[in-house]
Amino acid sequence: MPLYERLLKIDQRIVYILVILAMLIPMIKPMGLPIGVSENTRKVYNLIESLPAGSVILVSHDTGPGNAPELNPMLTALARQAFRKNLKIVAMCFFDNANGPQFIQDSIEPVATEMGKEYGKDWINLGFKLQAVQTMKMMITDLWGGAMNVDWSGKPLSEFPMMANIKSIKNDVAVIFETTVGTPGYGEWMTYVSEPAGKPLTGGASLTMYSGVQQYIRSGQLKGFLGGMRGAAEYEQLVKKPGKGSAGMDSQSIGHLIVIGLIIIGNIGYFMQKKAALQK
Amino acid sequence: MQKELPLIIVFVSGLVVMLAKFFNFWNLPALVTTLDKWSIVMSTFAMLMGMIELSRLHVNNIRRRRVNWTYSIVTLLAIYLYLPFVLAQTPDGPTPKWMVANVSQPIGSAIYAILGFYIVSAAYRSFKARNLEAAILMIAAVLIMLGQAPIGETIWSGFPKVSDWILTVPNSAGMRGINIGAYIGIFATSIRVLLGLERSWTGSGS
Repeated sequence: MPLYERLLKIDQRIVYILVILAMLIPMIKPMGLPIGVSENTRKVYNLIESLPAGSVILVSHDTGPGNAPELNPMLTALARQAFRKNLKIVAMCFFDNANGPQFIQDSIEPVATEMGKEYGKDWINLGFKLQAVQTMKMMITDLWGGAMNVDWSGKPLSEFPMMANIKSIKNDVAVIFETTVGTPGYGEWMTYVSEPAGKPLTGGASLTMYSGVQQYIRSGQLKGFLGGMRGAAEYEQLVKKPGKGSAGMDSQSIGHLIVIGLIIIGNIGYFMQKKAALQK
Repeated sequence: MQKELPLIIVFVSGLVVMLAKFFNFWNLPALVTTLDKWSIVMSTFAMLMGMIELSRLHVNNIRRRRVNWTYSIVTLLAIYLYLPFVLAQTPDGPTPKWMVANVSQPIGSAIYAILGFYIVSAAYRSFKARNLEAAILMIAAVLIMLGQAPIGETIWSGFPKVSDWILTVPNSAGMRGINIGAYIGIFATSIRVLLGLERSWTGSGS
């Protein structure tokens, strides 16, 4: 078999083994590569930093298990920054009814416990909501109605002290923080809530979605946005608590190098094949 | 009337929502809020209907031993094993939480993770500089990959800047063009639905 053919036809099993090794080795032996902070991440951090104590951040954590490793660390880092500044978090989700509410709980609760914040007093999980657009629109003037007056476990909102002063997005929410992997996501929040109610919208997207949000960051409709696990890692650097986002960065680095290496090998094989065909 | 009634409901509801966006007479915004509430309530019932219909379908699959009928058992078990625990303990109870954390999340993550392997394999097989357009696409992809991973800036500190420029300038321009085209299409389709010219959603053909 000529060399170019061998370069073009690397066994898929070898490719898969390379990917597994690229993911595993950095997890066992982290390289600790420095992570620079992008302008978009800094904008998100600065927006939250600019809020006065007691302000409310409305979180919409719209992800499923597939993108959770990218987006959950964003929420954890946000909780850390918000609780340090004594901000309040009202969280909900529209994307995944089974996993979404649990992701919110798993991402915020440990930080809240660590920082001495109480459920119902400093943060609340409203759980999954149906009919995203209609619920969002309703919440502009009637947040309780949109939440069907209960939190994710079915307890009445009237039982939670923080909710006494949070009745509507229009009057009581300072910033909307949306983590998005598709629809419903940032598009719905931007069109139906952020623009009509004049509320700043920020958050983060999975890396596959990140190219789609760029135009809205540029136009100012999104006040910065975190991009994938890299964005989460950058945010963790800013809140000075490296977590799961930073831990995944070395794997991502080696993974990307493997992909680039394979692309180069494939192209060398392709041009060698082309040259051989011309010589014939 | 069976055909006309849905069209009338769609026309009137659509018109009210559109007018409320521009005018504030006859208390239209309040009417839209009521319609939104109806929609939420109806979707809750639709969820229940979906569950009943899904159960019927899978029970029939099992009864008639259709192809892959064993998967229908898994689906029914997933629905009806989870439901009583949620009703008894609420979603934050120990059993529902355990089920989500140990069944739903690992399965969802695993399925998505498999994509990673396919993407690497597909990139190796398909990213070839066969012509100028393919070469530009390939180089842009490589630059973005280097810009998004810390290893890129360890190799050269300019990679994140180049990656940012690709994302914010050529990518934004392309995405805006695509979006404007898509939104014009959505608007035109919406008008056709409101006017009853597009009727495929009624199940009676276009």
